[in-house]
Amino acid sequence: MKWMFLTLWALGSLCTTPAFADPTAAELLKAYDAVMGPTNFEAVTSMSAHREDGSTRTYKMKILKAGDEKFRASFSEPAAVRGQEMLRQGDNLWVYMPNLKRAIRLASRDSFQGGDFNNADVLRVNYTADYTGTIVPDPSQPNAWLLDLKAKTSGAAYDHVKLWLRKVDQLPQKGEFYTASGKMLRAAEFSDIRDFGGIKRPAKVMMKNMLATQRYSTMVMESFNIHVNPPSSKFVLDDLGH
Amino acid sequence: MGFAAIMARVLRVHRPWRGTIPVAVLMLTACLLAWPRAVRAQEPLADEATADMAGADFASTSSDPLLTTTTTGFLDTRTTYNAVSVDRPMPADNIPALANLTEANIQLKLQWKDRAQGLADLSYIYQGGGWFYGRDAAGQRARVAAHDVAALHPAALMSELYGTLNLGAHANLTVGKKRVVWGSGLAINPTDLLNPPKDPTDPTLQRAGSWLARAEFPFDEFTVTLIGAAKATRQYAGVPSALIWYPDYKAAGQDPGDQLSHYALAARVYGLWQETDINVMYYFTNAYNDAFTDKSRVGLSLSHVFWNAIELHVDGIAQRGSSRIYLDKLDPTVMATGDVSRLRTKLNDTDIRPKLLLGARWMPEDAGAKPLSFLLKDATFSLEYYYNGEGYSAKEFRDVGNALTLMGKAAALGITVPAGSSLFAAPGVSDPGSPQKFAFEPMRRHYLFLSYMRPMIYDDFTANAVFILGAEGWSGQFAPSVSWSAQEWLSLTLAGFVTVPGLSSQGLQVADRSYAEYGLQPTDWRAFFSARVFY
Repeated sequence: MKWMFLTLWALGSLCTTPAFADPTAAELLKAYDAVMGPTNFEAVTSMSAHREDGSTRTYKMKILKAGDEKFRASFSEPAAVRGQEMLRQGDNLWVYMPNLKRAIRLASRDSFQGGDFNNADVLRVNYTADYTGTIVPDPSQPNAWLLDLKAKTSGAAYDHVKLWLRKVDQLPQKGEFYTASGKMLRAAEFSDIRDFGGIKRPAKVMMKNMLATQRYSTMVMESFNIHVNPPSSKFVLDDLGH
Repeated sequence: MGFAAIMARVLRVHRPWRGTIPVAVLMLTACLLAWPRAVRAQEPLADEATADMAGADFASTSSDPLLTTTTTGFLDTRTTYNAVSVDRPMPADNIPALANLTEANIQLKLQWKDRAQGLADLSYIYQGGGWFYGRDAAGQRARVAAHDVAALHPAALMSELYGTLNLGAHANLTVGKKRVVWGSGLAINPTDLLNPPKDPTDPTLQRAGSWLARAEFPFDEFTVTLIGAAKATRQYAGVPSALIWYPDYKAAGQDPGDQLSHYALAARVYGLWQETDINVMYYFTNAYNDAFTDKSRVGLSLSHVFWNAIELHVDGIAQRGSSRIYLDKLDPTVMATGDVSRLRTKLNDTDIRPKLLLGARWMPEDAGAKPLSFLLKDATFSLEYYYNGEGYSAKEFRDVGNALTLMGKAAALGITVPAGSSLFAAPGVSDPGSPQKFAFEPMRRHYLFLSYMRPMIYDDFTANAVFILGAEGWSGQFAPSVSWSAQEWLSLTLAGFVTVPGLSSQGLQVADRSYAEYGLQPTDWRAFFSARVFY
């Protein structure tokens, strides 16, 4: 009798345990951050800005991240910007200009190298810290979760974000970025899922400028290494240019 | 006996060095800090330094090569037309109406893992000019025969040459020539007492630094820096042969020098507090880039971004006394000898004279609808106000006019007088750095700098405009330019410099004519075309 009771209780528990339950918004945000901005990484990436006239400008850079608050990017191409560096420490953002021999402060919402990404898109991937989210139904995308995000910090790149993540693996599929007034500024598409030695993530992000619809930029990860442990001295303002 | 006197005594004790040995020591140390490693690393260099990410050298990981080299630079040719005026108080004889300056630049950076780095930023400058104008015997404008102008000689320029040795994560030592800038100002940096001044119409032009030894101790939220800088008292083709002291011998075409020790000591503490960059600086200088001896100054710079959109900054320094000349006592001795040091009558004045720059920079996020978006999209605006505590008062400014009138009369009588421009030059500046398009030498106290930059205003054209305005008299310099990035490696620029006359009632009265502060120079306007190829 005792064994029968225990078996029934276990079966009942299995039926009610949320093993296959939908993820929460917080879990999806965490999943997004885990692939798009893991705690530590070193990446080589190229950003191509496609303009209205069909021409493109390509920037190549190396990105280093440590923890949630520290980013550093260093440009190697084109020659006109070689040696330029960007540093983020929490809400603080600087760009080092080799010709000025010094760093100047930037706002995180400024355009990233004149392309369609802004500085925070590239140097501040920490949606868990910057946004609060809710999952909203989207019948047009049955295979994706739609996260509706609202900025909770002044340093967030956008006031309002809609983010679609694939149900199958919770990888990002597309995003829309809005002003507080509801005007869409940019739209992103995530593609080319690749395994970078321990982490599977989109290798390509295309960002469309919705204010100038002929313009868009793509960011392609050429390498992405999460097995690094950069020293904090690499994220000090006075180390820029070294 | 204070700190100043002790330092002066220490330096005097070592005077037998007479300059040349310190130069050799500094240059050799700068090279040694990086080069021996480079030589030892030559074998792997062939294979390893071909890494794609030359230049992105911040993250030294086990997969990175032992030695990373980055080479970059440019070839720039600039042709300028000067609308020369012979009616100005400053002489026009050495200003060519047409001039060309070609600069070949190489910037070589060597990074030996996280242990050391070396950097060289070197240029060779070839220039020439012609079509000189002056006045003939009848006082009329006339062509002046082509002649040798020192400012147009070919030159080699060593903007930077230094080595840095990292002594652990929180200490590094740099020796050589380096431009170290701590101030937050964009157009100018009042707190920068070490380097050749920059051009407010294009601050990226000036890359030249000073000869120094620097110990820096960087931590996550603060940095402490100590610097000893030496003035290059003799240099040939950009290469110094003496530092701190002038050699006993005289050299043709060079500053005859003095018996002083020319050096600067600086200490800086940087802190990041409440998302604000704070630099607190202390300088002790002795005949270094100005006429002050045993002079202490303190500086402060701040920078903060408000509302995630507008950067506000403060860059200021406080000093007692003034090293500039005052022309209320332009006596015959000065006229006869040209010794303007007698006119520096407020060197030991105890009045505090601050120099303060307050500025804002704004990059609108949402450009709005046309036609506003045409002007605002991705544009950067900046507005800076500069208070120059060493500027002339109205009365002192009038004295300048009277002196120039007197000098003009003396010259007309055949009496040799110092050229007007030499009166206002900073004393003892041996290294002007990169040739500038515009030199900001403020005579008055209140100035405004306005700048606007709009990339891709059409295709790959960037519009840029800088307005420097003297707020006493409202005269200024307007410098518009258009650059076309025809290729990623090629930039073409057309630029102009136009003098804004301002209020004649507030101008400088010289021989019954009124000149704006920016109307003293012998050009009505200038225009230049430049082509720059990056590699």
